[in-house]
Amino acid sequence: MPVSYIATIFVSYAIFAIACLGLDTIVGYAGEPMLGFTVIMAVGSYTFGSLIQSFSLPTPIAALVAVLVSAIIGTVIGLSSLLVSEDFLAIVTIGVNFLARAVFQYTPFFGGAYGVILAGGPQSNYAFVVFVLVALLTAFYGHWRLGESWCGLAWKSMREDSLASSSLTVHVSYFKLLSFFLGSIFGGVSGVLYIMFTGAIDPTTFTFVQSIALLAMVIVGGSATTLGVGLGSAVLVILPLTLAILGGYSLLIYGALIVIFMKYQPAGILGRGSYARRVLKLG
Amino acid sequence: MLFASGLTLIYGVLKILHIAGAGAFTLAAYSVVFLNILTHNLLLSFVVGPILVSVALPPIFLKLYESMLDGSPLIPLVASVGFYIVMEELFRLAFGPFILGFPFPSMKPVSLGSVTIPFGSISIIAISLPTVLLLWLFLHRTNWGLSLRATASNRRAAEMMGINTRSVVLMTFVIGSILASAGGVLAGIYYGGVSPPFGDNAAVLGLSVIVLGGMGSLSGTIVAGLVLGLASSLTVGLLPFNFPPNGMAFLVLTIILIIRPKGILGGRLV
Repeated sequence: MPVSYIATIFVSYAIFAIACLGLDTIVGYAGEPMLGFTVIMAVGSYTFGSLIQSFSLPTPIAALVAVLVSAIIGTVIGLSSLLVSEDFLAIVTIGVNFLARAVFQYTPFFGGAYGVILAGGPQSNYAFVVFVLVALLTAFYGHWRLGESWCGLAWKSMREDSLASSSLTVHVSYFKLLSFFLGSIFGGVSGVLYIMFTGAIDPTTFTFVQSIALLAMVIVGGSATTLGVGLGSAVLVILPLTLAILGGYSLLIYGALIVIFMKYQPAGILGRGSYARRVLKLG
Repeated sequence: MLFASGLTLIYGVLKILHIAGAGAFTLAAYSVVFLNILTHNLLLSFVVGPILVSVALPPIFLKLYESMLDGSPLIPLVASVGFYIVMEELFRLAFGPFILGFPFPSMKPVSLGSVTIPFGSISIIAISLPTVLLLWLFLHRTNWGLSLRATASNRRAAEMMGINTRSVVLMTFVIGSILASAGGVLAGIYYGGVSPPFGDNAAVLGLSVIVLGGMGSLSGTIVAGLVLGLASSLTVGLLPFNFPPNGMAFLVLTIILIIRPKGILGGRLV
């Protein structure tokens, strides 16, 4: 049974929200600028798709392997954070977008410019919607728990001052890599859900602009807060879909909104120190 | 390379990765096309177009970044990308989504023995080299250049020494826009046309050149521009499979950063 339009919007929201929660683990909690997060999603999607297409593995095993592979790739990208920091890392992670795109586009195994098409076609039944809902709730809970745990504490201290926290016996390199590893697990899950939802991907699905869009979702909502990230991705996923009625002006308004949010509420809608948080007394 | 040196200056002074500068790059190329249609005077449009852009855009950039300078560096970056999206869409609405032909008398390519150099490349060399030289003289031999370098090394301290850092920042955006416009016009000559996503490649490659050169170092930027350009065009032919020059540039970038994490000539300011 095909699902309704509302359910479709919900699934695309959930996929991006899971990715944003993962990105926020790296950018918000650990404070490492990561501008290539769609690469993680792409790795998840491509691994899942190729495993099913080329080796015809059963879906659950393929999904597990795909998530694991994206976590490993994420950790490898994270290795660069040990070498370079801050703005340098931002540029290196921008570069990863273009490298990954080149690899996917020019390797025959990944289908070249055609990408990967799932034989089963896109998933469109309510069982899948419920599955996505469960995944989304798990991701929310996981992200929130990570933030409150000893691990989140270590990340936050490292984000504020890595030198001071390493003098307090926080193993900075270990926690940096851990944030990339755990964040990439979210990213891999979201990538697998993405290809299940659309049924096909190609190298133009995951671009640099998409990475920036994910980052914008995190920052517009309020980084390092579970609610904020959930709200930010809701705003920036659903707005473009509703703005589509404006035709040619939709991208213009989308860009303008990002600028306005950054200018007047740089902490994010529900970020620490934002107006909404003061009014709602969320602390 | 011109565009990248503009970005480097802006990064050196403000620590902002100024992607929206690519908007100036595109706008300059468009303004030349349109002035030429209006006035039918090539020389006039090549001079006035970039000047118009360099006067109009800097105050907007200043307003955009003003309140973001002291927070997380990701905020101005995201705002910059957002602003670039807006500019690109405005170009699309104003000028249409197609490629507009660039007005230039078709000159014959120059032959040097067995090598033929297209006219576009010659004009790029003829304009870039003097501009970079002028930029260096400006930075190191004038009072304005001195106050710019002071602001780059420490904004607060420069303020205490009586430098009006606000106007220095504005001046930096003006210079950055002049360089970007010059780059845009040259790229227009080289590719023979301009379209809304004209600046995309320049934005991304410009950023990687900044990093490679050691952030905020002008001489490093020039060396890095050469290294990146040469490395990507030379190695593309050597690889067994087809690799886009863009991906190649970033592969080179990553490898060099692993060897020299601070960039080729990193460590010095402007």
